[in-house]
Amino acid sequence: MRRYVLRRVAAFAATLFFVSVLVFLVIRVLPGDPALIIMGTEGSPEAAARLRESMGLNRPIAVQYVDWLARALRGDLGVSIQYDVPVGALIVSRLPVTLPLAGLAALFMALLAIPLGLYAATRHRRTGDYLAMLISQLGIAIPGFWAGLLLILLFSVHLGWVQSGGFAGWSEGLWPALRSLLLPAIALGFFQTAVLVRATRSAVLDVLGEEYVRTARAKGVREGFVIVKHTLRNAMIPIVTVAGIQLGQLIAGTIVLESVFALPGLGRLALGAITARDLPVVQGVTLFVASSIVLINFVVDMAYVLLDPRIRY
Amino acid sequence: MARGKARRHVTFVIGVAVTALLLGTALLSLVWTPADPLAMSIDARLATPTAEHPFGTDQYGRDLLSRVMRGAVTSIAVGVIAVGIGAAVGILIGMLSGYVGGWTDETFMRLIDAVQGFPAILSALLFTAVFGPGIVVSMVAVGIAFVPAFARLTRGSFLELRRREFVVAAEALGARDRRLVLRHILPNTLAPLIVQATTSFPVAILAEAGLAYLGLGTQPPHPSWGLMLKDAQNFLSMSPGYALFPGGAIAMTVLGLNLMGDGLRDLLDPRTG
Amino acid sequence: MIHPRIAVALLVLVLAVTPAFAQAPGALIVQASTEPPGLDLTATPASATAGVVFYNVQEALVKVDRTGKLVPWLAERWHTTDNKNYTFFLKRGVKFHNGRELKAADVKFVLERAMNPETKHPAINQYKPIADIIVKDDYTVTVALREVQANFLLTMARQGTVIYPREAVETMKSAPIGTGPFMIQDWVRGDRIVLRKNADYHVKGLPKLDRVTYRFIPDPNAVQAALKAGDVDVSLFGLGPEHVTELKKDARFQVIVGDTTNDVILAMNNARKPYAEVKVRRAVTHAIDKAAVLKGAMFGMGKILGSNVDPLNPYFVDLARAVPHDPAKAKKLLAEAGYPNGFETVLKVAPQYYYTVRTGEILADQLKKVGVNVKIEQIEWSNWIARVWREADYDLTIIGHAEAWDVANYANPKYYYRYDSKKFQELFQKSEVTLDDKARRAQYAELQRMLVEDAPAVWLYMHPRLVVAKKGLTGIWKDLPVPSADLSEVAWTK
Repeated sequence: MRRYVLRRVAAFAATLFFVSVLVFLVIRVLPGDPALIIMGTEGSPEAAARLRESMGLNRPIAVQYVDWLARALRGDLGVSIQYDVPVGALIVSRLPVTLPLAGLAALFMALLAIPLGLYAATRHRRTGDYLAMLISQLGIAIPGFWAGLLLILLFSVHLGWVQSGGFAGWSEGLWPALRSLLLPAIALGFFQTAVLVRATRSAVLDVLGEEYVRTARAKGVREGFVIVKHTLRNAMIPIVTVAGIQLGQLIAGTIVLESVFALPGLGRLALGAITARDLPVVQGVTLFVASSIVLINFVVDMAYVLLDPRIRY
Repeated sequence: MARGKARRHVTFVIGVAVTALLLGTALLSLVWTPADPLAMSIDARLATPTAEHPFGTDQYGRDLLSRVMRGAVTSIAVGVIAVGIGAAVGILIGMLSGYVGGWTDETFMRLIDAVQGFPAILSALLFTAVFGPGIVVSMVAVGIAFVPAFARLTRGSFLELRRREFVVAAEALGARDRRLVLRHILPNTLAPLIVQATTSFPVAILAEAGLAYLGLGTQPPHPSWGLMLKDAQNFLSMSPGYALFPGGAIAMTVLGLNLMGDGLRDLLDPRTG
Repeated sequence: MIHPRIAVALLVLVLAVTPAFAQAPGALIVQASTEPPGLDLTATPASATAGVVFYNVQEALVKVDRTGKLVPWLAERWHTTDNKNYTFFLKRGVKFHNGRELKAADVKFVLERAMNPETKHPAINQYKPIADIIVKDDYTVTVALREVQANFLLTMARQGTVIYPREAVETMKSAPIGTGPFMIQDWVRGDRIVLRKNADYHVKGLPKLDRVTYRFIPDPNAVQAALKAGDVDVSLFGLGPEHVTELKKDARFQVIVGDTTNDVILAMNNARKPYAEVKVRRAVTHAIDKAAVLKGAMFGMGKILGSNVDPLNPYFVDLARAVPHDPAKAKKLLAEAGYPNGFETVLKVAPQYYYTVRTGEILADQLKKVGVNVKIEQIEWSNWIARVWREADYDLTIIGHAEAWDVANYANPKYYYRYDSKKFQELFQKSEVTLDDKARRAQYAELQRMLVEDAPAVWLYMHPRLVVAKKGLTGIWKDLPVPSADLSEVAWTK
């Protein structure tokens, strides 16, 4: 097992390296450079050319990458071209928005989806099942940007309970900050919950049909016991897999919702950086997101072992 | 037991019917629509449903019914390409990873991690910059983003089933790898994959809408449900019904595909019920 | 277990009791669509930067007021005898935000820094005619030009010529210092910029506000919701005409529709077939029904253009009806040019500017009727700047040119229009050094008529200024003769 973990750590480094090279190449290949965008259509072309030179963008791509890599390995992720602020500090400043947002959405997802999926499976093809599936269909069918806008219109414009967007900041207090994240978290979690409900239901249904469940029932074990002790644990593998995938997608899902709710989060930072070809920021955010994904997947893989000791690496 | 069997079929049949309706509408729209989906009539913009325009009109006065019909073609193309790529590549990788294990598993999975960590928007932008904007290009990018999900699901199932009694027994009896995989393991992994596929289809349709924000995906004036939904947001107060039709179409697609998927799942697995 | 209904009631109670954004009377919350790429007006010409900094934090010697007139500002007056040497007399007692008084040496520093290629000033070409800057005393400075420049005073009034202290150059990008009515208090990247009142402002009685917060809300539907929910007080830019139409019906708001210098045009690549042929370009112009475009894309808001000089320009000539909508004539011209069955072409637009996409869809529909089949390609803004603007790799494109006096671009054969008319270039150069107003006016009329003749592009409409504010707010500019958001005179009346 220890060897396995070490292998994973080495692979982690390899993955990050691979991703960083890919991102670097893509940004350089895409037409447009940050100097051009800063100068816009009204800036003099000579000034743009000089700016480009001073940013080191005329050097060969390999040289630029190695330069970035050398500094990154020392912990220096560079300075944002747009904001003139160190990339590390910039990313850290966005985490207090994106992490709680993803966290809240993930919480909704776990608290709602698994019980609901379980319930649906046990009421297979009865009203309960159909109702749960209906909610799930709605969740999948409504896109994030619509869910967000509808929530804003209802709870902010019509009822006036929460602000329509923006982030109050944790310094104002725990409750105001959470309030600004509530609606976007619901919008974000809505879809992911719907997906997980279906996956849970399917997995539990699979297990409910197994021999040992029938045996347990025949033995007279109470239904509740059957469900929790025998069914759920064995259904967990696909559930955990999908949850892991959804968690990863949550991070991607924050992009649209952060725009709708005007939240200063990581997703919006990434989008703005890509548009402005702010390479240090794109690299920084991608590395952070890739690391999170690797971590989540690692946890999921470890969970497999806990859930089913027959699985070996 | 008999009632259960009938119910099982009903779900599947409804699902197939709805999906067939979708497919049929798409095919029909290629040869006939009530009006030209591209014909503008600014004076008749954002109209509520009338006899002439049963679904109303959009912000340029184009007939919404015709656009929703033609949009079905886009949606099917979107779903098929994205899910097709994601499933084909993903399942293959997942199978190899989960079955063989060891270094193969390691390498593939780390590659999958890299793909997951790489922002899908960047790949969409890249392909568009190289090949020009369009629906196929963007959907290939979305398809690639779907691969990790299918791969990990398949791998998870394979990891688990690999060691199960019936597989070990078959192995002991001398079954070779290919038979083991195709005959014994794969059929039992289908359920979550079917669910993933039927869920991913509408996700692809909505991903196309998300890409529409950046101008990737369907190029105007071609109709696409996702793009129509996005436009409808701006005109929510002027024409509240505008969003209902593409939204309803997407919801119906979700319903049909999910029912069909669930039904398929139930039918394939004799143990349920 | 708490009864679910009680739980909901408690939740409502808590949400209702916790105060929402408390609004102080001297405070204003402004919605901005785009976050500025830095706050340094000498590093970027971005209008997002001007919207925060220009006239609020930093000012210039001369100011363009809300009617478009050039008025003395940091310079009380100026005079020139030969139109080549301008002597500016600075206002006394004007303090920078760091307490130091504005002196003539600062003006010299600012101009020399702008002229220095190392600074990479975006408008460096405007300062090329300057030969020397002479400081006579602390409040008198003379600028000597190499030759007469008709727009010299305008150059001194532009956003790139704001006066700032030399000791603050390092922090210009994140926290610029100037002489303006407000100071930068805070910039929370990605969320907001906060300005606070400059108590020592050189114009007594201004500013009327104590505090201004710019909130960056990119999605126009979210902006509309924010206004309706009372979370922002005013939207100066970013709402679409459909949102403005909707908000007009709401009694809580006032809607201001004004003029800007943003000319939305259909550019044709004059260096590419078939647009190299003037008959084709005029055919395209005839095929377009500008009134329908304005109605369809902008719900009728804005003004139709006939040439590239906008209504706010003093030399504007209304040529909107010079080349009328005439599809039959268009087909005839196309046939004469050798395209009796029309042709295929590609229109590139950047969806970041929603109005270009909408305009494009309508134009494609109109052009189809004369046989020109347009394929629309939406490309990213960075891609547009690199491929279309810099490399002129396009057939057709639609964009709004926001700079005032940008008719100069037609005199540049390397500009992405690739329009090369010696006659036009000569007349334009002449107008740059003509100072007599009547003569210059006649020259500009001639320039505009030349553009109509040659039709290097199709001038569609002037994008309107769409402002929605809470009732009770006064002092907002109706028209926007320069990219800016002057908030010095804005106040709440009760």
